[in-house]
Formats: sequence, structure tokens, C-alpha cells
Amino acid sequence: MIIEHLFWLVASQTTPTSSVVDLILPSESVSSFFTGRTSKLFDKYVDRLILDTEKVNHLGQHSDSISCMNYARNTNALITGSWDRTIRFWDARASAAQQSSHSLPERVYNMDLVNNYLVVAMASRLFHIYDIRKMDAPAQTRESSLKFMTRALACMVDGQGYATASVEGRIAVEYFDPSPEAQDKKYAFKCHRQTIDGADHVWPVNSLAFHPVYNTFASAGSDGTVSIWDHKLKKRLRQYPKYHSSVPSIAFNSNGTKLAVGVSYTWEDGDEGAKTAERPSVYIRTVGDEVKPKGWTEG
Amino acid sequence: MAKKKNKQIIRPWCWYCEREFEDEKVLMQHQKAKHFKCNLCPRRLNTAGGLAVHIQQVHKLEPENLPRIENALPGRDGYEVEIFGMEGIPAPDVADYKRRKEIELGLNPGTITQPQSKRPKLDNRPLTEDELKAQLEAHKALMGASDGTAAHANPESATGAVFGAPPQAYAAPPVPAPGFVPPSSASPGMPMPPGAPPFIHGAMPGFPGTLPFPPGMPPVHPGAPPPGFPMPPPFAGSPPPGLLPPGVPPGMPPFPPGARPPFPPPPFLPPGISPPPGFTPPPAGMVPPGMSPIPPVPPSASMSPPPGMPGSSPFVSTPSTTAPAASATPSAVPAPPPIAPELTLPDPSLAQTNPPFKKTTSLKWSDPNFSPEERRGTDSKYYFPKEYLSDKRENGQTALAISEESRGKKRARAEDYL
Repeated sequence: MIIEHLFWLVASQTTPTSSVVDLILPSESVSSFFTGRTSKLFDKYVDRLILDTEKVNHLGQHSDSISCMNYARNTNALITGSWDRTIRFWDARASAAQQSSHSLPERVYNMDLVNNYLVVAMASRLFHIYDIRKMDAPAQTRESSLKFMTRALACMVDGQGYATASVEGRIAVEYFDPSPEAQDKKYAFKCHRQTIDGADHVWPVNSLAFHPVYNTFASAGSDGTVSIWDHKLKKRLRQYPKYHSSVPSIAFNSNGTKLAVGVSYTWEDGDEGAKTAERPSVYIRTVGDEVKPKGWTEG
Repeated sequence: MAKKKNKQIIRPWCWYCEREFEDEKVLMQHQKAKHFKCNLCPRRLNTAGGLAVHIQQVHKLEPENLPRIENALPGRDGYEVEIFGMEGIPAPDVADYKRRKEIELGLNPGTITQPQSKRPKLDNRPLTEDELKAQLEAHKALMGASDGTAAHANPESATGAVFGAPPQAYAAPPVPAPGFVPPSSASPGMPMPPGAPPFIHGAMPGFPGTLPFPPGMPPVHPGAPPPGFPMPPPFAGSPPPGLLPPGVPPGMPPFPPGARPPFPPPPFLPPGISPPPGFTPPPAGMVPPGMSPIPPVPPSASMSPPPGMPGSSPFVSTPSTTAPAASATPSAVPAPPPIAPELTLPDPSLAQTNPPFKKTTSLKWSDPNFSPEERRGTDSKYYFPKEYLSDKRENGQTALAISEESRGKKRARAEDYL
């Protein structure tokens, strides 16, 4: 099994051949969650697992692997993105669960949602920003400000913008507001790299997660490190000690007291690397003041 | 850290006089005082070599006139061997000493001489394709053999296993539904270790290409499922609802006391019909609760083998197949692991190229067009033809849902037994 995405409330409900792509917790009262699943491959099925009964509802399918999922709480819509170049909306309560499907120019790699903004990161460094109330056309289309493949995406909790990361150890902070003043604030910085014997070793940044309270964010890389950043002051607040393997996914819990860190091989060296890979593990780290921006005042 | 057990048995000893000491420090003090002491002056040296040099240089004695090492056993009073505490002792002498020590202590030979058998080193690396194949072959040979014996000696083995079971087998709580296929413990040649899941290997999770219809899978479902009852999943390795959870001890056949196994003794077998060779296999062919234990439907037309399971007919029609052949038959069934097609860009006009680096750079993921996950998806270990799963889904049987459901049920079952 290989860890792909971590979400809180990730029960280890996986069989050896499958790995849960995403688990999504639709509401505070946990009654069900959705899984896009991989059984030996990257599955294209959307299922809803009801926790009480351990039953699985099959909602529908994509024609290629699902890469990411989000749940829009205000509209109770499950949104899935897939390598089949569509994003689809699902309503588990409806008899025909699939509500809509929207074609995109490229394979969907990452998605995140804040308020009504849905940011979709695709292959070929494309970005679409949708308003989920008007899905017929993207509100904005952008090209990544990073020169390399998009690897991670997370929206700021204050709804101002998002951070994205590429395979070339770099994170960009961008803002939704299309006005030139807002766009001037966007920037990118290098991270998750190391100079060894004069050569730059550059690892992909696999996951980004914003802190639900402080709006700082954590990044995780294939170098096995996790860093906390204050994107307003453009400062690194903390780098945690290296984990034994790549960190494919990180997630804060809902009140931001804990950070879950998935550690597993991320296929940079193909199946050769898989042979020597250490077994995957999940660490739960209690976070302290390092996630707080300097001079943070309560309220 | 693991302590060396040897140390606790064998204490440091002096090679010169074979005396034992509490620890090496004391041993060295002893050697300095007893063996490496210069008899011409009060000087004590650390080693025999040191003593020799001392005597030659300080006392100007010719090498050939060196006095023998004092207090040493015969043959061990020379300067040739450089001893320092326990270091430098010739290996044959160590072995010899240990052997004598063993005898002295009344230990089994080998307890000291051979290093403590270490726990086999477990490595968690994924098995290579070849290793997996080898294991599968070994497993198939094993399963094939047991299938064969079960098929040949079927009645005896079936009844024998039940009758021959320890008495407490009958004290097992009555299970409401008789008519189960007994667990694999029925095959006498291959006792199942207690607690072993009956047929988990039938599923062989993780082996590419075997998932659809694994070779270890029994081709036969002795009790054909009633109409409308979905065919039990051919894989997932877990019993369908109402069946025993894996891990039921072999001594616990799921029959109520005194109940006959569902398979009739030989005389009642319909003529011409060989005993169903489905004894060892998992309880896939199940009779719904409430159905009386009738002789199983002859494994013929009434039974609908799962589609794509060519292994079933040869199995049924020629029960006399020898074990290896039987195992070979299904082994031919699974196609070689599907080869993933080369990844193609859905829109080549959007193809990316990585910009050059100014400095020497080792970029850990340098493919500009496909993510690590996509590459991983084409690895034979992860690749799965998508068409297959779609078909499955249309049949109302998803790999997914099944594995998910059966897991849930398994757990519920396990609770029953608590």
C-alpha cells in the first residue's frame, strides 16, 4: 500500500491491494464518507462508505482514475477530479448521484475548495478557478507561475488565494483577486531542496495544508521533511526533522492542534525504488506555537 | 539491542592457562601478572610480543633464548600467538574450548558453538515479480496436491475429517446453517494450522494478473447458488455472508453435533459423478441457511461457473487429473500480467518540457508530462485493465464493494464468535 492522500478520520480501511485515494468527511456528524478508491490501480469509482453500517454505496464512476475529491458543505456536493479530464459533481442523496460533469483541457491533478472558489490544478501546468455556483465556465484560467509540473494545491482558509507547489521544490502563493494590486502580491519561493557536493538536489513538494485557524501552511516534500510557512511574512516558521521516506500527504485536523503526516515511497525511482522502500507510516504530530504567525493575537 | 547470549554462557578465559574470569579487564590484569611478567625485572607487559621485545631490548637476550611464557599450558607457552585479553585466540582453540565447556556444563552440543539462532530477518520490501511467481508456484503445487488428494479420497477425507476430529469438535456451538463445505481441514494430507484463514491464498492479493480468477481458486461451487443469489465473488478471499470467518480452528467443523456433513458417503453418490472436487476450496459454494443438507448438486450444467473461468470444466470432467496437472490447469488460466499501455498525452499540443537548469541539479521527478502516480499506475503491480473493472461493475459486482462488504461482514462474524 502506498499513501496518497491523508485526511483526518482516515480509518485504516484499506486492503493490501488498495489504497484510498481520498476520504472526505462531509459533515461534523460523521455518518458517511466518500472514497475514490484504488484497488490495485487508481480506481475510477466513487463510493460512499457509511460508517455505521459499513455499507458502500456506489455513486458512479469516471472513465479514468480519480485523482482528487472535495466536498462542498454548503451545497452538499461531492466534487471529484480525474485523469479523464473531467470534474464531476455528485449528490449521494439523489437517485442518480452524478449531478454534472465538466470537461477540462487536461488531466486533473489537484483540487481545493474554499467558500465558492474551486481551484483545479491540471497537468501541463494549467489552472482553472471556478465558482461552484456557475460551473459552466471557469471564472479564471491561469497557467501556473511555476515552471514545472504542479504537484500540490491548497486554498487559504481566509479565501483570499491559494498556494501551489511543483515537482521542482518550489511553492507559489497566489491570490484570487484578479486586480493588478492583488496579483502583484503573488510570489514563489524555493524549498525542499539541498545542495550536496555542489549539485542542487530538488525534490517534489507533494502536499500543502493550510492551518484552519492561523492561515499558515505546511508543506511536505519527497525529501521527507515537513515545513511550516507564514506566507504573509514570507518566513519559514519551522522545519520538522526528516522522516524516513517521502511525505506524500499532510493534513491538519479541524481545530489545527494536530498534523497528520503520511510517510511512504512516492515513486520517484519507479519500481526499483519500490523494492527498497520502507513501509508506509502515518505520524500524528501535535503542533504548538510554531504554526502561529509571529505576533498573532487571539481574535 | 540484543545481548549476545554467548557472553552469558562463556566467560572471558585466558588462553594460556584456561582460567575463567569475571570480565575481560580482570582477564587482562591476570595475563599481565601471570603470563606477561618479565622475570628479570618487575616490568609487566600487555602482550607476549611486548614481553619478547622488552626482553630482547632491555635485557639483551637473543630471540632464541627467550624464556617460555610463564604459567602457560604446554604448547601455549610460545610467543607466536599475540594474545590480548580475549583477542587473538586462534579460532580452533576457541571452538575446542567451547566444545569442552558445553560438555562440562551439560549443554546440548551446539548451544555455544553455534551462534544463537537469530530471528529471521524480516524485510518489508515488496517482493519482486520473480519471487512472487516462485511463491505462487510453490503455493499452487501445495494447493494442487491437496486438491488432488481431496478429489481422489474425497468421501473418506470428508467424513474422515469430521469423524476423526477431536471430540471437542462436536462440542462446537451449533451453527444454524448446516450444509457448508467443511473448512479445508478436511484434507488429511494438509493440516491447516489453527487460526489460519482457510483460503486466503485463493485470493493472492497483490499478485498481478491473478486477481480476476486466481489459480488457487476452486473452480467448483458444489452447491450452486440459488437463482437470484449473486455469485459469490471469485476473489476477496473472505467468506461470503453467513460463512465461517477465516481463522476458525480446524477442529471446529461447522456442523451441529451429530449432523452429517453435507456430502454423502460414497455409496450415495450419484453414479458416474465424481465427488465434487471442491472440498478444500473456500466455502464459495454455500447453501443458504435453512436449506437442508442435501447432496450437492452435481457439478455440471446446473452450476454456472463464473465467466472467464475455463479452469472449471476440465476440473469437473476429469476428476482423476493428477494433482500436478490439476494445479497446472488453473495456472494456465490467468493471463500474464496485463501490460500497461504506454502513457499517452490526451492533448499532445499541451506537452510540457522542463526548462533547463542554470546549476547542476538533480531533479527528483523530471518527467514534465506525467505525475509519479500516473507512472506508478502503469507498473505491473498496480496496473489493471480498466475494461475489466467496468465489466465487473456492470455485472453488479464490484471488486471494491465486495471487498469492502466482505470485510464488514467478516468483522461482524468475528464478533459472533467472541
